[in-house]
Amino acid sequence: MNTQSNISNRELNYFLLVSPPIFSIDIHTHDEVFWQISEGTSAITTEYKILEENSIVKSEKIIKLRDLNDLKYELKKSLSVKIKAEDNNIIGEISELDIYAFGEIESDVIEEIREDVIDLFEELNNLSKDRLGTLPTKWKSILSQYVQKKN
Amino acid sequence: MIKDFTEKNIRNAILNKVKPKNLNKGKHWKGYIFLNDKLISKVKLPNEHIRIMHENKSSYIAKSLRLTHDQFNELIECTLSGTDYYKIQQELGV
Repeated sequence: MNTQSNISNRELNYFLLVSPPIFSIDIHTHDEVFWQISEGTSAITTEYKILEENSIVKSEKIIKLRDLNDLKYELKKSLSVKIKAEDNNIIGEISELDIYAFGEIESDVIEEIREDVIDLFEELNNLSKDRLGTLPTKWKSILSQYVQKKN
Repeated sequence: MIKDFTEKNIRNAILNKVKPKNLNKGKHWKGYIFLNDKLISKVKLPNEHIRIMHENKSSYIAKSLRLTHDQFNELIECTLSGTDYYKIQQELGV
């Protein structure tokens, strides 16, 4: 585990469960603490960023998906998903693909993101090139770098 | 700023007015938006709940629909367009 942190006189205690929930982290932070955690055997690599804005605690992290949990499709390389947590709501998004998911449980949000990636990949490949507008053409170009059919 | 609307109202407005195609009716309905037979965007529909969806979530839907926040408010606030209403009247007869 590699970590970097800045600690000031102000202390806020947060307990975070890493996905997968192997261990918890007790963080003493000021405005921003950046942690990078790599788990070699996990399907997910997680980077954390914790923000305090106007006394409302929010957290953001980047999760790198390494698999789609699908029988037909797989990832060629890891795909970054931003996870935002605020007031018991969790929002996951891949902004480059206009993919997002809401929920109360992070694993549900991540699973929905996976499904959305697959559904979009299939829909874009079902349409001929001349039937794709500007945004879908861009999405298809991005997705083709990440998703492929399994052998 | 996007106003607070129920998920149901947002869902119905999208289904009734945007009329997305190729609906994927899974756990979360997803539809694709075509213009002149070209795919221009996609949208994920909220469920039929009456709970309120706030701007932090509905802004994602507005962006999917390629609408400004004001335009999104206008889309949701009118559940029946004038055109739809007169079509119904015509089918009922005089």
